[in-house]
Amino acid sequence: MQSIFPQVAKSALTYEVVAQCSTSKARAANLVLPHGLVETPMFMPVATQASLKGLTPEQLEDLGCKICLNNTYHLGLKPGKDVLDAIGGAHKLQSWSRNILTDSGGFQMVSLLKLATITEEGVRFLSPHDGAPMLLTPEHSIELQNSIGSDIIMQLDDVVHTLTTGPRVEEAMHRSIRWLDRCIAANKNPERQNLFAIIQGGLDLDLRRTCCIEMANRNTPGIAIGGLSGGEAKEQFCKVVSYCTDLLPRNKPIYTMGVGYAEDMLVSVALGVDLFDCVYPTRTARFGNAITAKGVLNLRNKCFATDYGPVEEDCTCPICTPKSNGGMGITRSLIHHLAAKETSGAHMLTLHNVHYQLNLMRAARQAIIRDEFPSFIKDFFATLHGGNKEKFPQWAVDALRTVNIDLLDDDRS
Amino acid sequence: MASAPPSSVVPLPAFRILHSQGPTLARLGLFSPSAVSRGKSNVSVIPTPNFILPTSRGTIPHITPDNARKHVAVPAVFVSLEDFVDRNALKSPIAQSNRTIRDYISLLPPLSDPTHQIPIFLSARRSCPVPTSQPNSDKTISIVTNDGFRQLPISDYFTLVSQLKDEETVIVAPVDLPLLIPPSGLDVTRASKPWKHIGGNRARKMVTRNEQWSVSTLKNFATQNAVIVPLLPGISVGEQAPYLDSILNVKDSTRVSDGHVRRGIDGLTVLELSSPFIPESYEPVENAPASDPARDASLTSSQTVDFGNLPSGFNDVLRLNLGYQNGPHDVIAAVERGHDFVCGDWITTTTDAGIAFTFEIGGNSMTPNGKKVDIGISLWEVELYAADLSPLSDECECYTCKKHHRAYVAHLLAAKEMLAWTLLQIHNIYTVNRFMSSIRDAIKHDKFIEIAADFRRKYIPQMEGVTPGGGPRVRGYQVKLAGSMTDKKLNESPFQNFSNVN
Repeated sequence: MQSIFPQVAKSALTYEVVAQCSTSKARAANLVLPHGLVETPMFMPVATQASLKGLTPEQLEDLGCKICLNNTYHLGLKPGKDVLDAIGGAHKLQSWSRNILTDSGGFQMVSLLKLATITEEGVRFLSPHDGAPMLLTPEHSIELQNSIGSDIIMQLDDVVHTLTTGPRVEEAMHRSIRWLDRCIAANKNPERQNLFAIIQGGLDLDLRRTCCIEMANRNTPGIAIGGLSGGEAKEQFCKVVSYCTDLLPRNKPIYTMGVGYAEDMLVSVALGVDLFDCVYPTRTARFGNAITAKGVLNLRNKCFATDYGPVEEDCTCPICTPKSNGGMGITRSLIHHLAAKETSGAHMLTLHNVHYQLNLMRAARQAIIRDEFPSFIKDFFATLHGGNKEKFPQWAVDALRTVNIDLLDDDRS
Repeated sequence: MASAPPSSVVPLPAFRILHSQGPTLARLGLFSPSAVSRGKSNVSVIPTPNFILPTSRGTIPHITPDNARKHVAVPAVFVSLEDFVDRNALKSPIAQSNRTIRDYISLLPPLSDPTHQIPIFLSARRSCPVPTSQPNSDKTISIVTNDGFRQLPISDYFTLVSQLKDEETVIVAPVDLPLLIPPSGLDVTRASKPWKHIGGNRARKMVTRNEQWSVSTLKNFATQNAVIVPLLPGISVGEQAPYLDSILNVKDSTRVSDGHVRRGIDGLTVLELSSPFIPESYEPVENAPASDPARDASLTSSQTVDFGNLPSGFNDVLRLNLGYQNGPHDVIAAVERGHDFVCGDWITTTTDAGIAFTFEIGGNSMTPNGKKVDIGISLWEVELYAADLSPLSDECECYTCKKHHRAYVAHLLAAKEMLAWTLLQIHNIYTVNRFMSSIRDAIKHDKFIEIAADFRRKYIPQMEGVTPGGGPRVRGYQVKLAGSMTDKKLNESPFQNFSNVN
């Protein structure tokens, strides 16, 4: 049952493609949001509860971050809607003058709470505070996001686990479309808050097609590809992403939710995606893991205790930059000494990892603008796997072949 | 290892007194550890009275080096080697690093003055050491490392220090103390009882052992570095006279002061583990003059050191109070009794409790209703501060107050976000810096007695830290004196069975 009168959303952003890769679907664009320019492709770090895990907003700004995430579910619990209204939104709460994207809270309902049940009206769950039954409706989610005042707000979608099959997937897809209409109608601030639709449909390409067409009709300012990165095979992830980017309008930003591994992001860029978010770089930092171009290092490993080099050679992040160049000159040995023992060690690795993610996307953008993206992504995989092509993941090789990039081909043109 | 200074350099004392305000023992001074090796005292000078911030595993708790150099002007830090060594001290990562301790922990100069090197007080044990399971021996000191209790050979300690020090490092001589395990549940701030009296044999052993250790420390380092040695707690000045005499006469510790050549030390560490001005029976006396007989009597009965009884060679050396201060009242009391540096453990403790300092010297000494006020606000009280967009403390110029507000810190605490403690620590260190600066101003203008009395009249000494959500996660090595003996779980489990919520 589709709405007879689909809602058409308003936009508070401009999206201009500045360069298109001549080989793949990769594109570089300027996305102008109410709190400034976002140069895509872009990774968005996740400041779940209005703080990026130990970093000050100033540190995040200094890393060149132009947009970060807040979670509606968490901010709805603490500090709550009344406080957000009194303060005047999340930008003021965390003194962040740049852009914020909020999710709808639907994902946390499913991921955090086993006892959530989904009805046409919304998501029913038991409050983690007092166990009282609560109901999160599309209207309620948008109302909260209006109070938060984020620059990009996400529709409440009916999230099913990626590996679900059968009629439940189709039901969730159609319900997500109906909920999108309710979200568009509920958005009080379309002139300063951009509502993004979320494509559902699991791994079923026909369902994805229906969803893309229906949602594109609503003309939301941007579109997310949802219901992925939940444990499905990477081949299927790539197939769905590529399928959707082909169907979606070219003049809108496309966002894959919850994607944060470097390989996944770069392949997705090749498939035409602009925006990414993931808790991975910040979470893994707290476990003592450093993301580098040559792979992830677990600095808690004993072998790093006497490694006095920087976390990553030639890295330009604040902790790896030598003291003589104005950086902190932190060694792997010091991180090993602090990891999982002093929070400042986690904060330092968080700085490094977020810088890595942001810088990777900046480099990808430059490569696209120079029209050298294919050789850029080949170099990336070669560095990551020490030049050993046998280690290249097959899913990446296959996915990139669909966009005319052959990772195994040495030709750099 | 720093090379020996050229022979033309005449080592100056690291500390000099500028002004004293009688009848209190409060005094204004300048501390410049590199004066010893450079023969001039205009480099990296720290005005006193001031505070030292104890680091944890080499970091200022909650603060990354970039925030430290931008937003946190710590006058000096205290670094303990037990945080860095494991089974074999000389093979520990820091020993193999071929770096100074300053380089290894990335203690950076403040952005505002890139030539300033923050003095590091390098010690074997933490400023608030965890009691060990074994006693010291003549040649080893018992320490608590990341992987358990260890015996650190004194010779290894010296080797490590000589590798790790630089010009601005202050060498804190190892101190031999009796095993102290406070009775279970004893409040750390009142942990004075085990110190009250140290028996004859142990006292004699303490005197000879500390004499060996302190004299060796002076012989090894006093030609190039500022060295501070302990005044022995729990033993009368008479009993420790042989010790005091020998540390004043080590021939390698020559300093030239105003043309006079003298031997000696650069500083004393004083271990007052009690909070002498706030004993259980203590009722603050309004406007009490410093020589109030009643209070003097209470002082001599507790753990305070009467510097007047010490040989005169100790008059003009730095006095570092390593006891646990429990807030600004204790700091004022320590300054009043002639201490030049106090330890800042209490700042981190306050930060961990979610309290933002609001005290200051000056302003209105009387509050509107004549009632005393708290020295801070507990941002755990979310219902008070949830939508409060004012700075943590009025007119504070710290990063936290200029950029953020009470509502944000209260939210971060409620959400147990680590940034809460970062922002609080920045603010609290800033506030204490300003406080110490006001104290120095007051001494300079002979107004210390008045401001001390005003301060005591205005503020409630103790602030109950109520942390409904708990502080940051506590690690084993952060256990303070009494903590390890209590049955209380250090950290509450962050999760509970969902069905228990109902």
